[in-house]
Amino acid sequence: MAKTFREMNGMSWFQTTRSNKLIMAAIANLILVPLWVLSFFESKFLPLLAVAGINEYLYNATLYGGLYYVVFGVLPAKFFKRFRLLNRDSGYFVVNELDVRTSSFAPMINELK
Amino acid sequence: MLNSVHTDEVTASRIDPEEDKSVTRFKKILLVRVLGSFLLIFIIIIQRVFSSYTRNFENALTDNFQELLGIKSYDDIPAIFYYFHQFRYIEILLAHLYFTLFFLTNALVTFKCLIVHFNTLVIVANIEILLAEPRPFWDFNGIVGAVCDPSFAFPSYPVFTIAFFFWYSSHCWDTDDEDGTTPFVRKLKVCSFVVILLFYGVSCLAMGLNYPSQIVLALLYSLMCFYIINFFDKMINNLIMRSSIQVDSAKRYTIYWLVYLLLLAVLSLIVYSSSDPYVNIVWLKNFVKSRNLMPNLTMILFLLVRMPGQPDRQRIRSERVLSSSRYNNYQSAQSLTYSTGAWSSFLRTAIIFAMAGNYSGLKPN
Repeated sequence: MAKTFREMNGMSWFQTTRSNKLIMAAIANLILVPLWVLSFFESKFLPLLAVAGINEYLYNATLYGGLYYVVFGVLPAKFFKRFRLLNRDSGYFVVNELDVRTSSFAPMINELK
Repeated sequence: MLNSVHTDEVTASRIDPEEDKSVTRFKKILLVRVLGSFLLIFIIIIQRVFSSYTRNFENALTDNFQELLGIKSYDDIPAIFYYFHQFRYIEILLAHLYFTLFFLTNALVTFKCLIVHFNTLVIVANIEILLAEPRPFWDFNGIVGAVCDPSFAFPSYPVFTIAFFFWYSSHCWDTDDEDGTTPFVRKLKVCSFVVILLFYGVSCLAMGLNYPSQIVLALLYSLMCFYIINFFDKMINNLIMRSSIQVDSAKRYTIYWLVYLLLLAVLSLIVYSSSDPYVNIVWLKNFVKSRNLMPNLTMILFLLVRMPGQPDRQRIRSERVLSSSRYNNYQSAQSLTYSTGAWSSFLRTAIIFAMAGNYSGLKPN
């Protein structure tokens, strides 16, 4: 998250048009499709991985850790930025105090604009 | 005296009536939360005291409920219940939910909700081990156990997960501004919450995984957790802000997060290592005993013939699992020691995520 916001110079990059939001959410959800397939066949290949020294814990941790890293980091900072799906003219978020709820977000962003 | 009167007049003239109203409202909310927390803790203590007395009644109730649904053996339980109670699928469903909210609504609010939600899940999973309450099918032979789940039952984990997400997401998103949830979405959310909660409540009872009191108390626990988290709301906001949007401090906070997660993992490991390695269930004790006493001739012969045969060794072990008409055995042989379950899953994922985050979080642009 820190890296993503740094890449965008601290902008509220996610406040973009509704269609862009939908595309981004759809792509993020599509990334989970291989995970469903892997989960269904987990019991078949996990014993084979265990022989190679990769137990279930290590497998899951790497898989899910990598997944969250890709979706929260790589996707917005690299992929969506390149395809101009993010809001790059948004207000800056660098403030001293912020109530991280939607009620205080909107007016603050408008003021900063 | 004159000075004091003058100051009072000036102060009174400065107080905005709307601001005064909001202060009164805030005080009321605070009072409700404090009283609510105390009341919930009181109810939970009362339940803990009387739980051993109500156990027989609850056993009969769960047994009758299963009979009402026509469940006489574990084959009668609908397959969909099994899928929705497997943690690996719940984990993916949660990922779907948070990814959608992350890109569709507000990334920071979602991130805050995710962090708080997963942290409370780790805490509750540790409470489960500390309280060590049995599952119904361990306690009473009449109850059909859908899966021979070697993990404790109190508070009901899926019910807590759903309920806490509902309370906390309502706090974060249900606001009156243009970014807040619309009345239609709010109604939809309430309806889906009730439906999902009923589904998990009924399936937990039907599968013999939870007592009714464990389900109801999971709801109360989630509410109590929500109240407690609300007291730290400002601190959490600062934490989220400093580790994301304040780009200067964010580098330091990536390291703080990793240290925090490692400490949490150590604490959880201490709690886990202090728990009983084998859950208190007759069937499981028999299994452990038979496994220790059984001459391992087949295994020795097998190892002599084929050395790198780990999958086949698994198969041989699975054939040795005792079968029972009342408990559903795992299809393949698994560790029958206490299932580390959700806290371990979340923590190991979070640690890997934090390590990867440290790499890019500290890397100069």
